[in-house]
Amino acid sequence: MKPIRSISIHPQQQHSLSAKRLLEKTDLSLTQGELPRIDTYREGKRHLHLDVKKGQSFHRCSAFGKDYVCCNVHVLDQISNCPYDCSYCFLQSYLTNQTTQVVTDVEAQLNEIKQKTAQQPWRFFRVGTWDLGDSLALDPLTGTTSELIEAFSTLPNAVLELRTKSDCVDQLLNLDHHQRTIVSWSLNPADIIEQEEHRTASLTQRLEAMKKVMDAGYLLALHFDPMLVYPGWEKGYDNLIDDIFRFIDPQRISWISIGSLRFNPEMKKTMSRNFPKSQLTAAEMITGPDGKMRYVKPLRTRMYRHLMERMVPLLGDNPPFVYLCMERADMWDKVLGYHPESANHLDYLMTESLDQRFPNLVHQTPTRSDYCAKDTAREPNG
Amino acid sequence: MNNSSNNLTLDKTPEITHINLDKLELNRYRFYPVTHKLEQPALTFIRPLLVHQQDSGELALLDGFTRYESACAMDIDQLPCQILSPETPLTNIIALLTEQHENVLNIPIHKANFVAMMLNLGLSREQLCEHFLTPIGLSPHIKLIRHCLAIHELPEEVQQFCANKKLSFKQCLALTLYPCDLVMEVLDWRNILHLSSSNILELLEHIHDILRSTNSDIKIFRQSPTILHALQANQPPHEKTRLMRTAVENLRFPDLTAVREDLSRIHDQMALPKTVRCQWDQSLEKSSLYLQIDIHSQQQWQGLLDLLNSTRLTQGIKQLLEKL
Repeated sequence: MKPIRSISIHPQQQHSLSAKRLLEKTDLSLTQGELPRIDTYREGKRHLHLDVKKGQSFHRCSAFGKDYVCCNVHVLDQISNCPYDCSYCFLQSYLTNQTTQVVTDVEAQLNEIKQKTAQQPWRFFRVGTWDLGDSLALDPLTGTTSELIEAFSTLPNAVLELRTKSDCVDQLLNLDHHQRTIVSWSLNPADIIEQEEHRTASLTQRLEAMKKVMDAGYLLALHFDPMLVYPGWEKGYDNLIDDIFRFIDPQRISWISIGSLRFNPEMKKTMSRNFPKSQLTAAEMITGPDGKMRYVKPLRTRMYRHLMERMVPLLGDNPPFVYLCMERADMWDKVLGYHPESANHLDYLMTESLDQRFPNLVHQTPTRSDYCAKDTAREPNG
Repeated sequence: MNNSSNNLTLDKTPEITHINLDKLELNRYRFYPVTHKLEQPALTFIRPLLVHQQDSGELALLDGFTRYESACAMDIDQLPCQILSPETPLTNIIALLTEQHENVLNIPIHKANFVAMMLNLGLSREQLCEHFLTPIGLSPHIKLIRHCLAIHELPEEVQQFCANKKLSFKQCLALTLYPCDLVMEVLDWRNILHLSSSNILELLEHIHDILRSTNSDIKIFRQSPTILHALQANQPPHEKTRLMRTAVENLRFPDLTAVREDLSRIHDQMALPKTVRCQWDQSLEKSSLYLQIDIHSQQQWQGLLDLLNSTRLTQGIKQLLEKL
C-alpha cells in the first residue's frame, strides 16, 4: 500500500490477527502506542493505526435526515480515513483526527452487532463498513474484512456490504461467505476516475474485480454516487453503463444507488485548496435548505434520468432495486415515478426486493407492518 | 502572556537617545501599513520610539511607525528612541511586539502578516504553534501558518481592502483562492458600483466559478454584453450594482435562471389579485408552493373562492408544481 509510510498499533491489539498479518506483509516498522493525532489531511493518509473498538460502533448511516428519503442502512465504524485521494471526498473537511485508522478487534464489534441485530429480529439489516473510508483499500494489509465476512455468514438477519473503489478482492475469493456479504463498487466514468479519484483502481480494474467476486459467488451492488457534472458527462455515463453490463450479470446485482455530488460550503474551499486543477466545484451548485451544496435540481433531474434511461433496458425482467441517496420525495417521483413514505418504508422495499430476487437470503418474509409500524424509538442508538 | 518565553525581561531599562530618523531601518519589524496621521503629534512625541539594534549595528524600528511617519511629514529630523540591545532574545522581541500591537492584531490580515514576519525573523513553525499563535487569537495549528502565508502573498491593494473592511480570517483566506487579476478587477469596480465587502466576496466567488467552468479569464468576461451593460449603464451606482449582481447570478446559474424565468412567466399568466401571494423556494429544492391570502370581508372571500376554482388558476398551480 504505497501511501502508508508508517504504522502504529494500540497495545491491546499487538497480538491481533491483523497485527500478525501486517508483520508478515509489510516491511514498514510497527510501533506500539495510542492513536496519534494528525491534523493534516494528506499526512493522515500516510499513517495507519490499528485501534481498539471505542464506544458504540454500530449505528444508522450518518447521512440520515428527515427531509430526505434515506434507506436505513446501518454502518459499522471500522475504518476512518482512506489511502485514496478523491478530489471530492468529504473527509477532507470532516475528520478531526486525520490519522488513517482501522479497528482490528473485530470480535468486540461483532458482539455489538449481534446484540443489536437480535433486538429487531424481524428486520433484515444491511451493514456497511464504508461510512468514513473504503471498505477494502486497506484489507490486503489488515485482513479485518475476512473476519467480518466469516462472522456475517452465520448471522441470521444481516448482510455485510463492502463498498470500494479498489480492486483488492483476491483475499475474499476463497472465503465461506454464504452470500451474506455484498461487495459493492462506487463507479464513475473512466476519465473521471483518472482525473478526480486519485490512486483508486481504474474502471477496468474495478470491473475485473467485480467479475472475480461475482464468480466467487458474492452478490454485487453498484453505487453511481456521486454522479459528477463535467463537459461530456452524458457520453461518459453512457459508456460507463455499457461497460458495466458487458461485464456483469444484472441478476447478481442486489441494489443500485444513485446520488450526486454534495458537500458543505466550507468543503468547496478545501477542495479548491487541495485540488486546484479540479473544476468540479465550478459547476452550477447551490446551497439547499439542509446547508449542503448540490447541483441545482433541474440539472440533477437530468443526470438521474439520463442514467436511468441508459441503464433500465439493460437490467432485465427482474431488475435490481434502484434507489436515490439523499434526495427528497419529489426527486424520486421525477426520476423513479414513485417515492417511499419513509426510511422504514424504503428499508422494507429493499428487503422485499432482496427476498423476491434471492431466495434464502432474507431470514423471513418481510412485512410492511413490521418495518413501518416501528418508529425511530426502536432503532438501535435512535 | 502566560508562557515564560513570552515575558519581556530586559536586563536594564533601555536609555533614551535622540536618533536621526534617516538612520532607522523600517522594514524588519513592519507588518502593517500606517494609515493615519497623529492629530496631536507634539504630545505624542514625548513617548520614545522603540528600536532594536542589530548585530550589524543597524537600528531597526520596532514600535512607533505612526509617530515616525508623522515626524517625517512634519520635517522633524530626530526623535527620542529607546534602544534594545542586540542580545535581546527574539522571543522577547516578538512578545513585545504582540503586546504593543494588541489593537492592530485584532485585524485578521495583520495577524497573517505578523505570522509571516515572525517566520521571516527566524522563528520555527513549531515555536509559533507553541508560543505565539494563541496570544494573537489564532489556533495553534501548522495548517493555520500555511494559511497565513497564503494571505500574506495577497497584493498590497487587496491587503489594504482586507484591513479597511476588517475582513475575517476566513474571508481573507477565500481571497487567496482567486486569480489576482480577477480580485483587482472587482476591487476596481468600487469606483463604479456600490459594493459592500460581502457583495465583493459574492461577485468574486461567482465570477471565479464562471471563469473556471468556461475556461475563460476576467478580460473576456468583462466584455460579456450583460456585464458591460451593468458597468456602463446610465444609472446610479446602486442600480448598476443590482444589474451586475443579477447578470453574474444569471451567468453562474443558467439552469436555475431558466426554470425561475419559466416559473415567473407561469405566475404572471395566473394574474393573481394583490390579495393573493404565491411564493416558492428560490433554490427550487423544496417542491412546494406557499399561498398567502389577505382578505377583509366575506365578499372578498367569496370572490377568492371563485378565483381559486377557476381553470386559469388551477392550470397555473399545476404548471408551477410540475416545474418545481
